[in-house]
Amino acid sequence: MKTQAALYLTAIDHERESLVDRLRRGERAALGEAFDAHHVAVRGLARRFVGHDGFAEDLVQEVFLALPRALAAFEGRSSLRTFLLGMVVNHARHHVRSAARRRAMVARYSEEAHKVSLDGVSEASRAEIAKMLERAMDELSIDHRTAFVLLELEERTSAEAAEIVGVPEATMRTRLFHAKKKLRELLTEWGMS
Amino acid sequence: MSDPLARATRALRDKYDATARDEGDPATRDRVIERAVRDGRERRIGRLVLLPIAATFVLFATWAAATGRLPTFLGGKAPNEPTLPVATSAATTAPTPRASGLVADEREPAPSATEIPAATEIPTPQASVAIVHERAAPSSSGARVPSAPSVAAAASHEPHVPSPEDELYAAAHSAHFEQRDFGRALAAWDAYLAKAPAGRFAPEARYNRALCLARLGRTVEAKAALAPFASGAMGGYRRDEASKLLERLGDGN
Repeated sequence: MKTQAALYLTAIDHERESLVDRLRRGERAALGEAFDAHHVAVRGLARRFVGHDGFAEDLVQEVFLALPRALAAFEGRSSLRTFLLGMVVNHARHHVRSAARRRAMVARYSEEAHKVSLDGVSEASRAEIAKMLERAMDELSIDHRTAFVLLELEERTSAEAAEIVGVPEATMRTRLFHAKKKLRELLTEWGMS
Repeated sequence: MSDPLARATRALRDKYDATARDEGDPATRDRVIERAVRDGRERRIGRLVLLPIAATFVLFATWAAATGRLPTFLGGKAPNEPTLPVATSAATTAPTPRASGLVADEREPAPSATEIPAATEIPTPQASVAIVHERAAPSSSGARVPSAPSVAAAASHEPHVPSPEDELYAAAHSAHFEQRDFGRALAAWDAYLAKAPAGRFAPEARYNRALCLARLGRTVEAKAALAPFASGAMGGYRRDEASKLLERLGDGN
């Protein structure tokens, strides 16, 4: 049984290595394989991070396009997926800014258009609360936003999040603490209780 | 009432979880592949075009440097190109009578092209060219030899009004190397040295003065003037040339 597991792990390693090597060589098929294997995870994080489907899709495209060259810095210490999620975090900055500007603009025009009860029970109320949190997240620094997205929205462990971002776990936890503090203040200020 | 942040987080999480398996825009994959292929093709074309150009440039620069033509291509004069009209005229001038058996080619500061194998660059003030800055060239002994700027050097700098010292130097140089009037040249070198005893061309002026003395047959004075150079009192400046000239003067004396 142990041998089988070892063989399986070796095969997985081999597969990963070969995919990475092929990506480094710029193989078109390898890029397709990497996209098929990881685009759901990459898109999921991109959407949570950016908060806008269109900008998130642009981010997905940007990340996969940059992958072959970025692999020069890939040392194989983490999985390819973790590496890709780290790229999402690194490439997200300007997409987040663009999406935040758009949200702010939409919020300005629709502020008085409809008032929804924030009881959190109705579908409309839940959607409104979610939007409010997205707007509050736009007020966070990119590091605090990253911590909140990875640890709270994606519900990753601090070890996973730290590996993706490339900082110590304690740093991630501290960032999350400050992010939540700020978000709580903003939500309260905006009428949620 | 629960924590508002917890409620909001749950609401946002639910919103994204509902689309967690969303395949997104199916065109994204095609765009990624297409762009990757195009980028790769452009990089290959870039390499095919730029590499030969770069290689040609490197080869050309190497060839130019090896053949001494690099300064010409960079906008200056080639080192073997004459910078002084006198160099050409002196080369065609019939040999003048030698004093004390010296075979001195006065195109160069060294007293003799045959006696002093490594000819070195000398101050070459042009008759009407401003001396802009000191240009040093290695002497055969490894010392730096100050030289006056050439026309090209002067042209590459801002206009400069020559100082009286520079004019004296130019006059002495002209008398010595162009007119080959060693008596007048000696007086001119003395005039320059009296005006600028510590001037930037003073060492070279002293050396040229010694050459004039040797030319005029004033061997004892010439030897005395050359001694500081040969003994290394001037550093390595003209040491080898002065030593060899002293040897010859000793023979002739």
